[in-house]
Amino acid sequence: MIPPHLFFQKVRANLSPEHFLYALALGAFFLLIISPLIGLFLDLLHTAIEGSLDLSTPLLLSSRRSGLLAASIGLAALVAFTGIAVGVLLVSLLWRVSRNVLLAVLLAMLALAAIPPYIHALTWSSLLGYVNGYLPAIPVSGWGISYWVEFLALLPLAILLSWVAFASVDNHLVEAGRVFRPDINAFLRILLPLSGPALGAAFGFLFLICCSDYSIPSLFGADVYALDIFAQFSASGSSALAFLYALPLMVVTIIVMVSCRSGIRTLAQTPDWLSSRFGTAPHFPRFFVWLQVIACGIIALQILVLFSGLILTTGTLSTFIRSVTVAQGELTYSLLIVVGVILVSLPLALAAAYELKQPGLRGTVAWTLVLLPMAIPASLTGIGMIMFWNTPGPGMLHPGLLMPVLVSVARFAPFAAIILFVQGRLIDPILFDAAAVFSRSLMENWMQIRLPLYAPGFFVATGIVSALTLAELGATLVVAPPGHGTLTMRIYNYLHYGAAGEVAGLCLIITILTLIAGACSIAALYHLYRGPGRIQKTEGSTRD
Amino acid sequence: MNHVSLEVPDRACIALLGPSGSGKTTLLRLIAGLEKPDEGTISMSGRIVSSQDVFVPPSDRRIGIVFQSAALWPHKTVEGNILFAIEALPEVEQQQRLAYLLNRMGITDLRDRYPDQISGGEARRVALARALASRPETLLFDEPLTNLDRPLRDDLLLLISESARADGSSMIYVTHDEYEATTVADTIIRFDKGRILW
Repeated sequence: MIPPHLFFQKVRANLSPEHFLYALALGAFFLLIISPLIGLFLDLLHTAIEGSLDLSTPLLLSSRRSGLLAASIGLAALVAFTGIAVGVLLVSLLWRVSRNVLLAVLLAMLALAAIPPYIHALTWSSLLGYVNGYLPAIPVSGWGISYWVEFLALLPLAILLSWVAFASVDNHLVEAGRVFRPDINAFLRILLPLSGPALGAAFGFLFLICCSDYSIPSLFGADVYALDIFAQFSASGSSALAFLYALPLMVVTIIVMVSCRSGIRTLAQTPDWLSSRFGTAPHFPRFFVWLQVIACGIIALQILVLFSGLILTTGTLSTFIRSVTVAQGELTYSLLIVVGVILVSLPLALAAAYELKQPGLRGTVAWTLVLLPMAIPASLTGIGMIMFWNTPGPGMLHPGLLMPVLVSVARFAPFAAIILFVQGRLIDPILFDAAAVFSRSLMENWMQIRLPLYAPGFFVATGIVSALTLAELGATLVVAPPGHGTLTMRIYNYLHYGAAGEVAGLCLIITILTLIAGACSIAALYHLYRGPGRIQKTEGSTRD
Repeated sequence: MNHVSLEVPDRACIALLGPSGSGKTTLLRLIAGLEKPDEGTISMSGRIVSSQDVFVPPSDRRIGIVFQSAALWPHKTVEGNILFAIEALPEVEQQQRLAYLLNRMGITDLRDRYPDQISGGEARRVALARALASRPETLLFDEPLTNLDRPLRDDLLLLISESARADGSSMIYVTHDEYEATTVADTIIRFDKGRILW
């Protein structure tokens, strides 16, 4: 038991302005990302107490719902599995390329990964519509094509995650294998098992994204569980029913997220994502080389269909300008939301990134809370936000620009926190210690040392969070106030009504904006790996 | 690395001695086939293994290597680590060789343990056993005794020296420690700034 005077001394010592701001930012971060869940729980509790609705029905899985759940899980698992398999084949090609080529390929994948999935849906449906004229047997809707487009949309991310998983394995362990056995043995029996947990986390991550996305399946006429949650809410207007309805899917996503948690930490803690290279090209057997060629063909096809489809469908420059002019309001609204999300997310995420570094229970709790929002379907996040922030009481916020901002913060601030955590690990901690000793004020410490060192992480987070916010649909659709819509919502509506010409112009705009965000990330990453603040290699890891 | 010309006679034990950053490890990696030279030729037992036109993969060079960090595979037991290097042999021969090496290195009771269940010194013994397992023509050592205390280093130096000679392998031992170099090698080659000094 601590004596009271010592306890208060300790509290006073921790009440410095820095600690106060840190606690404030951390509290706001966790409140924002967890508020949808809190809102849903509170509303469920209220409804149960009131007894106005039969809450047992949504918990019982009808045969239609169980079939839908199984199909949705199957689709997500297949997309994630094949994504990782092709990703692994492609990254095995990157072993020998120079550091600059490797950086260029990975950054191109980063930019491609940020392109919204429905844009892939547009380009593929245009292509299939054209091909179908000659080959009517090729299906233009259904589960098969939904799988294919979803798989291609997530492939760049799968490649990035597979690379990071490989980079988490010590090079020497693989090289030791290469000395004793042929390269294919070292690959299959050393590298793959050792990167297994991180690859498992990558699988889980793709699975979670796929489970919560309904934009592609719905456009190809495949009904998935995530869409049904939204439909349930629209039909009943009850968030409690929608929450209970979503529970079976959430149980699955939370199980996946929890089992992947240590792997996700491994992915995030990989010290140098560009280190996993080998001095000599591996010699693989012919069958494996063929698999690599097929994987290359798939990613080339993805890029070709995406860009040629967009340009051809957009048509003339005047069509492009007209479609952009018509959507000027949505474009401005979307950009304002992006700016708002960045301004709110990044400072709060920095506090959360520091918390993620903590050892023991504190770090585990922080990681669980940061990963939890990723397991909630997008539409449910929107519903939960309405329940939490629009409920009469101290937290009440009127719908408007703020709700789409908050909902994107709730969904994407965790990504920013993980990126800043990774950036924090790349900075030699001794630099912060030196800053604490030599800086004359807290402001000087932050402005001249800490923020410049964290700057690349901020730029990367800005790029990724901007791209994700621009593409956000499921939650924004629920919280957007009447008369206001984002560019993505307009595109989605157009796609449903089949106005391909107008939508292609808007998709091209989204792609350009995404690539600009990607370019910012590229510039920042270049700085990250070339600029100041790079962690120094330890004595043991230098090559003589 | 510039104008390096080095010939290692059969069964010779040479030490490459030089400060950190002098290029010793790079030379060892070139010999192992883990790096490719921009120009020049590397031959082993009269066969060109690296040149502008020829590249023999590391696993076909008949070498054994001990890295600075032991580099034991954490998902395999001590036995699994050693057996991986001799899987091409018939099962009976594999077991005989394994038993011999475990006994010779004094690690028989560790055979079912994983790398995180053994000490740093024991890990180096396992790494040495793995390197010797396939009876390589050339043994490469990249500062294998870094971070070990003096008595342990002396033990292992003796073991390395005896084992290499018993198997009739040539040995290239990279170190920045003069004591290790003089203890283990017949010939010492001083190396600095990517060049052989003498």
